[in-house]
Amino acid sequence: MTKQKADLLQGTLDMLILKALSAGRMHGYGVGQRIGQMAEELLRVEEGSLYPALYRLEERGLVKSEWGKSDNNRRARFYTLTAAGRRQLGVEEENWRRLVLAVGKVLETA
Amino acid sequence: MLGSLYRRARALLRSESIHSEIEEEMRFHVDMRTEENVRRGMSPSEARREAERRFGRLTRMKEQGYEVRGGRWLEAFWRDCRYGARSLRKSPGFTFVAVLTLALGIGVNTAIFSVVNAVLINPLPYREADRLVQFWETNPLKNWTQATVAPANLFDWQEQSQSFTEIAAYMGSDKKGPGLSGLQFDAGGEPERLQGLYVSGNIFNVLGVGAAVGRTLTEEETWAGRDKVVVLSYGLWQRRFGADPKVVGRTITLDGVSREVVGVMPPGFYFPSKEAELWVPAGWNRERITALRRPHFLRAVGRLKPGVTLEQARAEMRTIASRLEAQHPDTNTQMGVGLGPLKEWIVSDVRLPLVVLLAAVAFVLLIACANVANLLLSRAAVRAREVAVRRALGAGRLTVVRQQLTESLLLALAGAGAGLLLAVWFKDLLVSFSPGDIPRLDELRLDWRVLCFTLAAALLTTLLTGLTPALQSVRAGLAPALKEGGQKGSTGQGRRVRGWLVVAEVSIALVLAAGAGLTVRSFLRLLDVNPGFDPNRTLTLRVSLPQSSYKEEAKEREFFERAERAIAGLPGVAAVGSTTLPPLKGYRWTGDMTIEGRPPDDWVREIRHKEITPDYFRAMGLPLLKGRFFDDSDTEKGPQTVIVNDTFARRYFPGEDAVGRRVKFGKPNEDDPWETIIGVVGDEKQDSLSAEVKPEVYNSHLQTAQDEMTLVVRTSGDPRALAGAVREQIRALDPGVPVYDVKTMREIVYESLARERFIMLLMALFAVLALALAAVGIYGVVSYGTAQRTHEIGIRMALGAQARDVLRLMIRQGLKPVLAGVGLGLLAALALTRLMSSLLYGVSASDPLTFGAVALLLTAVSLLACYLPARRATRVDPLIALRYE
Repeated sequence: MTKQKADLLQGTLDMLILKALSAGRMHGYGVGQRIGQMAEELLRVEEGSLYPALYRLEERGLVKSEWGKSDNNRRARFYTLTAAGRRQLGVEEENWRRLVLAVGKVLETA
Repeated sequence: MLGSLYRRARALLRSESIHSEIEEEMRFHVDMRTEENVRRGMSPSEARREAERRFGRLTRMKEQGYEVRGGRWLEAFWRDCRYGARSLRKSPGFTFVAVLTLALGIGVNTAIFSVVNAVLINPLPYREADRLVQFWETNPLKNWTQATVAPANLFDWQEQSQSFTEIAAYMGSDKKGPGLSGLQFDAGGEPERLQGLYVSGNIFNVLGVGAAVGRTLTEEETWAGRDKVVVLSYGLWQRRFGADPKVVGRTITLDGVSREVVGVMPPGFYFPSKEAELWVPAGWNRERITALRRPHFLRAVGRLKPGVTLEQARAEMRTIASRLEAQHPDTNTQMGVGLGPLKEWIVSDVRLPLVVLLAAVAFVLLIACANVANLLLSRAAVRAREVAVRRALGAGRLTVVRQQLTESLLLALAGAGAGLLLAVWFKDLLVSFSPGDIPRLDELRLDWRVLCFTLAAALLTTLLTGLTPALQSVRAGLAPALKEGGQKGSTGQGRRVRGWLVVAEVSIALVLAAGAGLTVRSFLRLLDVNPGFDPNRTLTLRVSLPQSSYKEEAKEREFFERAERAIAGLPGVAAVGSTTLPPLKGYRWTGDMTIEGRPPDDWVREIRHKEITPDYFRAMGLPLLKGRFFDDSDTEKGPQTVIVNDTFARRYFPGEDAVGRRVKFGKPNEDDPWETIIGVVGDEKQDSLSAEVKPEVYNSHLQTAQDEMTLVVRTSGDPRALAGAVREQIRALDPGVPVYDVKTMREIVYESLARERFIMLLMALFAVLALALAAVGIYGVVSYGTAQRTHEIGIRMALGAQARDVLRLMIRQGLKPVLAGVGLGLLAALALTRLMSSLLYGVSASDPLTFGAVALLLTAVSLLACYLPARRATRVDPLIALRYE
C-alpha cells in the first residue's frame, strides 16, 4: 500500500468532509470546492486524499453515494451524509473543540 | 454491516466495474477542475495539464480507491493463492508428502462419513419419513424389551389411538428384523424362491409411497377373500417381466397360491429391507386374528398425525396399554407398548460401531494434520529469513499469516481433492467387504452432504496445520532471522511446539491403537468361543416343501425321512440330520412350558424349541450328556418325548437329574399332553458366538413335522464337494422342492462374525495408518531436531563425546514427548474406550493387557523413529559438522 499524502491529519479531513456534506448532497469535486470555500481558501484538499477518504467514509457507512446528474448535466457520483455520519460529525466537532481549547491552553501557559 | 458485506461481495464479483466507476468519477473531477481553470484564465490545454497534475497519477488514485471500496480482498486472496502455489511448486517433495498425508486423512474420513451419511443421516425413502414410528411390546415379566406384537393388541391400538393417521402391520420375526417369508415364485419360466413380506393392506398408505405402475394395496385386501393380489418391487419387475407395464392384471403363483399383480413399486423403494421383493396381503380372517392376544408375531409401523409429538403418542399408548392390561390380565399383565422413530429402529444397532469408526478416522486425520503442521513448521523455519525480509519491507503480520494460511488452504484443498478420489475407491471397498447386515448401506452416495463434509474437513485441516506455523513465523523477532549466519530457525519456541505435536500425535495414536487392540482381542476371544457343535466338515441345506403339495404332516415327515436316507447312502457321508434352524441363526418358535410337579402359578415362559430328526445331534457333533437321543420309537403314536439342552437342565433342574422328568407345552391349567425328557445334550450357540445360551427344548420331527427344515450333512471329506450330489438326491425325490442356502457350518460361523470382523479390520487398518503416520511424524521431528543441532553435535564430538553419548542424548530428547504422549494417551484411552464397551466381548474396555501392549508397541515404534535419525547424526564428521550452518 502506498503511503498517503497527508496535508491534513486524516481524521481531520474526514471531519471536514462530513461537515461539507452536512450542507447537502454533492459530488466529490463539490466537496473539495466546499471545503476550500469554508476555509476561505486557507486549506487545499488534495484530490489524492479526498477520494480515498470519501470511499473510506462510505465503507464505514458515514456517507452513501449514488450516480446522478451534475449542474452541467454530466453523470457524476453524488455523496450524502447518512444518519450515522451526522452523529459522527457531532462527536468529532465536539472532540475538535475540546482539542483546540486544550492545545490553546497549553500554548498560552508556555 | 450488511451493506458493507454486500459491497464486498459485489466487489468480488465485479472488480472490473468498480475500476470503471472510479475512473469515471476521476474523469469527472478532472473535467470540472479543467473548466474552472479555464474560467480563471488558463488556456484549455494548460488547464487540463494542471488539473491532471494536481490530481496526481490517475492510476494510483484508482488503486487506492479500489482498495478501500472492497476489491482488495479478492485481489489479495488471489495474489496469496498464486504466491502459495508458486512456493509449493518450488518444493515438490514437501508438497507431495503433505498432500498425500492429507489425502489419506481426508479420504478415509470422507469414505466413513459417506457410510454414516447413507445409514444414519439420510432420510428413509418414504413421505415425511420422520413422522413414521415403529411399535413394539415390552414385558418385564418375560424379559421383553422390543418384542413382536400380538395381533389383538395391535387392532385395539388401531381402534383406540388418536395420535396416528394409521397403523399398519407386517410379519415380524423374533429377532429385530422383519419376518420375511421365502416364497416359491412361479410366473412361467424358471420357478424361483423369493423373499416376500406379508403386510396389512394399508402399509403403503402409512409409508406414503405410491406405485410406479398400477396401484398399491387397499385396506380391504388385508382380509381373507380379497387378498389374492401382490405388489412387486421395481427390481423384480425389471428382472422377471422385462419392465412390461402390462404386468398389472397378470396372475402369478406364490407358494402355490394364485395372485393378481396389482402394482409395481418405484425404483429405490424398499420396506423394510432390500431383500423383500414382493408385498403380499396377510389375508387374515378378521374374527380369528382380532382374538389372538397370546401369540406375538407382528411388527407395526404408524404415521403420527400432523402436530402430534412422539411424546404425546407415547403417553397415549401408555394409557391404552394399561387399559388393555386391566381388560386382559391373563395375556397382558405388565404388557407395555414401545414406540420410536422408524429410522432409529432400522439403524440403532449399527449406530455405535459407525460412530466409533468415524471417531477413529477423525483421529487419523488429526495425526495427519499434526504431521503436515510439523512439515510446515520446518518449512517456516527454513523460510524465516524470507518472512523477515518481507516484513522488513512492510508486509504486516496479518499479511504474512494470511499468506501462510493460504498455502495451508491450498495443501488442504489438494489433499481433499485427492482424498475424494481415494474415498470413491475406499467406499466401494467398504461396501464390498461389509457384512450383509448393515442396513441402508446400498444407499451410499457421494452426495452434497458428503462433499460439504469433505470441504469442512479441508477447512479444519487448514487451520489445524497452518495456524501454528503461521503464528510461529511472525512471533519470532526480525533481527536474529535477518542476521547473516543467525541460527536457522528453530527457536526454543519452535522446538516446544514440535514437542507438543509429538505429544499430540502419540496420544491420539495410542487412543486409536487401544480401541483397535480391544476390538482385535475381543474378536480373538470370539474365535476361541466353543460353539458347542463341531463346525468342521458339515454341510447345511435349507429345504422347504411347497404347501400346495405337502398338506399333511405325514407327507412332510416322509419326505425328510426319505431324503435323509438317500443322502446317508452317498459315499463320504458320515451322518445326516435335520433341524428347523441351524445354530447361530436364532430361533423360530417359543412357547409357554410347564414342568410337572411345580406349583400351578409357576411355569416357564417363552421357552425356545426346535424340531429335529433323530440323527441331528450326531450330524451337528453335539454331545449327549445324559439319557439318550431320539430314535425311531419316538413317533407321534408312542409316548411324547423331548430332549433339553444343558442350560435348560441346569436352570430348571439344578442338582437333579432332568432325564425322566415330564414337561408340557402350555400353562399348568391348560390341557396339553405331558412329554418326558429322555436326554440332555450339550449347548449349541444359538444367536451368536457371543450371546449367552438360552434354555432350549428339542422335539422330535417324527412327532411334530415341519415344512421347512435345514438338512445337516456330516462328511468325511470336503463338505462342499458333496453339495451337488446332495442336491441331486433331493431333486430325484421331488424336482418341485427348492433347495437353497447351501452352506458349510464353518461358513455359518464365519458369517455370524461378519460385523465384528468388519469393525475389527477397519479399526486395525485405521490404527496401523495412525501408527505409521505418527512414526513418520516423530521421525520427522527428531530428524529436524538433529539436523538443527549438527553444529552442536560436532562440537561435542570434537570435545571427545562418544557416538554412544550423542545417541543417548538425541534419543532421550526425542523420547521425552513420546513418553508424555503415551501417558496422556493412556488416560484419554481409558476415558474413551469405555464408550465402546458394548462392542466388546470377553474383554474389559480398560483391559490392562491391551493397554500395556499398545503402550509398549507405540513406545517401540517411536524409539525406532528416534533412533534412525539420531544414529545418522552420530555418523557426522565433526569437522564438517563444525562448518555446517
